[in-house]
Amino acid sequence: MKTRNAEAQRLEGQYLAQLRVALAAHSNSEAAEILQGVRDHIDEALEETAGDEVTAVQMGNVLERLGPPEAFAQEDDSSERAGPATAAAQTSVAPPMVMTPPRVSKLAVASALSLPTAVLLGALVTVLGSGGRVASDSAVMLGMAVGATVLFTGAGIGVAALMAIRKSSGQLRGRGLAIMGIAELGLAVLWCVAAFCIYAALP
Amino acid sequence: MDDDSKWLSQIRRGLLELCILNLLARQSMYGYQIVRRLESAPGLVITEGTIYPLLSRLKRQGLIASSLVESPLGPVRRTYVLTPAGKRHLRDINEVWRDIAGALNEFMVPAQQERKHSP
Repeated sequence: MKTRNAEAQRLEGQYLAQLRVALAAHSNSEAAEILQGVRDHIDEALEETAGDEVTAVQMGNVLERLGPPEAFAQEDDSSERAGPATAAAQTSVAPPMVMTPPRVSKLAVASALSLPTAVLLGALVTVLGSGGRVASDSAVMLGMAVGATVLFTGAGIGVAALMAIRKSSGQLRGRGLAIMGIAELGLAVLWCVAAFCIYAALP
Repeated sequence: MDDDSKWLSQIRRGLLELCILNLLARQSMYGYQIVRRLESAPGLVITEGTIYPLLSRLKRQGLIASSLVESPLGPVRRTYVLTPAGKRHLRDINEVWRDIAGALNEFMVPAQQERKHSP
């Protein structure tokens, strides 16, 4: 650490004392960490100055770039605190800009869940329709009809989810889930066609 | 503080948070290093000291963590890293920012056209 001349030492001490007052609304540990960060910053900045001993002018330049101590209280997120220093800061500074993270579209999630729902409901209807005996053709048809209805509904919800995500200006996400919900209908149709072909080919 | 200054102050505060989290996503950094890196973006940092309360808040929110790191070439430095919660938060706000930036680019009047219409 570079040595300071008397005037540079006085300026630094005065600045850090004012900063301690400005940070009154912070907890002791936070204020101590900010103060330590500023001390380290001053040391690092002074290492870049010319000469072996820091002059008042050099110290003044470093402190000027750091900004007035009051600005430290203003730049923090004052809405999270209560206290006199905060109240003072809030009168002069507008609330900080808050970036709300996007949430996953519930429609997209519902759409993505359409395939497992269709399988479960279809199987349940088939079992109940058979009355505990070997599945009859009519029970299987009813189960497939229920499953297909759920899948078509899921694809519709997926399209609605995509439109809602597009209109949300970034507030909604889940495009992949919505597309998955629509694709599930296509997969189910392919599976049904394949199953029908195999069934028809059987002797 | 006039309306223009308030607006700029709010924009800067939000963007500083975004920039710091993005910087720390690439590598751990100490305070002075973050300040120097941010100064390379014109208009973003007006007073260097304001970074430190912001780092303190991000730490309080659990988005970053700090530790003292010794170096054979320099002093002991408080180094900041992104936490797992910070990584998740960064992914979310980056997504928001990309959408906003894309939308803004559509609305902004080109600089050439702006100069033509100014008195």
